[in-house]
Amino acid sequence: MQMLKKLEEAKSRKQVSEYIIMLHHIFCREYGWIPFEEFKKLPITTAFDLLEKINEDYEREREEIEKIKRKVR
Amino acid sequence: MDKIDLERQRKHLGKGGYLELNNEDGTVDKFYLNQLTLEDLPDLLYVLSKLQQAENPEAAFTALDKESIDIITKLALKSIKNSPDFKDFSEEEKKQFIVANFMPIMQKIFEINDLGASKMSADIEAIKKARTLRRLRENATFNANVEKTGRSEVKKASQ
Repeated sequence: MQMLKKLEEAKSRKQVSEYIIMLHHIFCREYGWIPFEEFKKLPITTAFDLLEKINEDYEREREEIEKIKRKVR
Repeated sequence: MDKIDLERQRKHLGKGGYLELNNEDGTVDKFYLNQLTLEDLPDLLYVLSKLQQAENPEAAFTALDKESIDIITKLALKSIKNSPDFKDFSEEEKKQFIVANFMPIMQKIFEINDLGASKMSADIEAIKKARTLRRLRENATFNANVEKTGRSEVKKASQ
């Protein structure tokens, strides 16, 4: 039981580490290479605000693509 | 601009917030806490996940093990580091302050860093969504390029 709990904990930690890597990756794709030291020093709120804006941009682009697709059809 | 907008802009620029502690005589003491950075995010999320394991809010504190308490103490020390309100405190006094006001400090840390339980899930969903939408965009660009190349090749062939 204890072992299972430990495994669950390790899994949740791994997931979190994946999210951090993913976040760095998304920022680099969007803004260009961000040095690791600079990335680490970003305030948490700032990072998630930027992510929100990236998502809004993607959403807008997706809607535009959908519109164009509909016109072509 | 209303107060919520102002607060949001301040937070975006890395501003922290004030921890307010009520005294017995009715006065309120305010202490400035700094915002944490992305390098602290795994620790914060880990503690939050521990708190979420609690069945009810009252049991949240007991859900924390020694490791989580150490992590929160470390995060709290980082939050009060460089705060003008703690400049006269020694390291030992800072630790005592954290132990004496553990719960309000912990709550304030989550509040300053915009990490409520629901906010955390929303943020993680936002990361997933950004990844999915990027793939969609890449696919659309790829398809458009294929279409373009295909057309030019057809044109060349007809010439």
